[in-house]
Amino acid sequence: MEPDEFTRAIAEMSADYRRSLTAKLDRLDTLRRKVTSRTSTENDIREMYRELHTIAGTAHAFGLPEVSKAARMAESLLAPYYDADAKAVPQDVDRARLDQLIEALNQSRPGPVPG
Amino acid sequence: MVKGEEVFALTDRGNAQLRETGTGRSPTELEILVLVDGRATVAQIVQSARNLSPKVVFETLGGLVSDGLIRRASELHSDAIDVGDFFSIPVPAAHGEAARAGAEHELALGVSSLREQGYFVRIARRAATARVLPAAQKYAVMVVEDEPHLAKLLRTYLVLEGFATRTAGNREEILAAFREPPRPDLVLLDVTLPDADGFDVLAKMRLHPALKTVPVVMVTAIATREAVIKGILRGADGYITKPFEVDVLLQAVRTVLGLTSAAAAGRKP
Repeated sequence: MEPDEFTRAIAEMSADYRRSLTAKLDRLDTLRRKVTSRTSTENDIREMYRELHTIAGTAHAFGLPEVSKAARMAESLLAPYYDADAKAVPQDVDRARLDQLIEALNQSRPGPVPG
Repeated sequence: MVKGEEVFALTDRGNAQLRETGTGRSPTELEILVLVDGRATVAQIVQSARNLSPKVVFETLGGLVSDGLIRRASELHSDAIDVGDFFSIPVPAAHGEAARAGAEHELALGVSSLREQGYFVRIARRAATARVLPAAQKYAVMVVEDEPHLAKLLRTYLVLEGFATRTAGNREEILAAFREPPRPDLVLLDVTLPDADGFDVLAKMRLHPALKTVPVVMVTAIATREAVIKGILRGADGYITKPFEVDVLLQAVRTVLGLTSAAAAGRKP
């Protein structure tokens, strides 16, 4: 692979990731609302945790360190509820704090991808 | 005819003989079998077996080849690996206090590298030299990562660096990737997978005859002290926390493979 070709490939991958991130953050927002309105299930919490965990570990590699950081903070809040052996129950989630952290994650959203 | 620069690996039969007692093998043969790990050259084995003359080492290796207990690594690497029962391999639940103390010690040593370089590499398992590749073969890196964008990004960087790559994101893909020849030279292993646990995959690899010597670098967002210790206890050669800088990851890959910075693309140690 030539350097120019490589640079183009990385730029395309980054744009692709940013586009996919929009859908992921929208989904997180939906789940956040379910938690806030106390209609969430254990599966919702697990899905939310997994999504946050993945974003935290991935966004940085695509030039979005702030997104990674914000996702990591929200992930930490939900970690006690993720493990199948966890004693904590989803009803105990600090909703106000989760709201705050997901809002911070939304604020870190990258701008729209051209094209 | 055995040559100094050649690398040998145990066959399934050789592995079985090592595990069994009362094999009828001489102490010299058993000593050499222990030293054959698929990575050390014959010259390095001669150096390690200081109590044996080079002539005895060469002759013993020749005998072990004839008996089918070892083969040239290049020949073994070209074979597909039988991993049919991989996810059924039972993993012992706990490790002894001594092993844990060793892992704690390594973690303490690794903390400085975490701080300085952003990653943890288990120095004890660092390859002294790179595996000698047959002509036209590249080092094969298997990336186990369920986030498709990140897997693709890693693959692109690794290809640019001159590695042959394959990716897997779940159990089925892991088995397929292991079956794909040649045997991987290194596995980059995520922990949180949709239907598997990376620590469990690592432990099973360490118990699998064909995969137990394959270096593994954990690449995970789980960065707790307990998680790093768990990785070391189960035999990880490196532990990199996400998010990571790609350069840091590539450096760790080269380190664990025993390559110099400029060598990866050229395939020369």
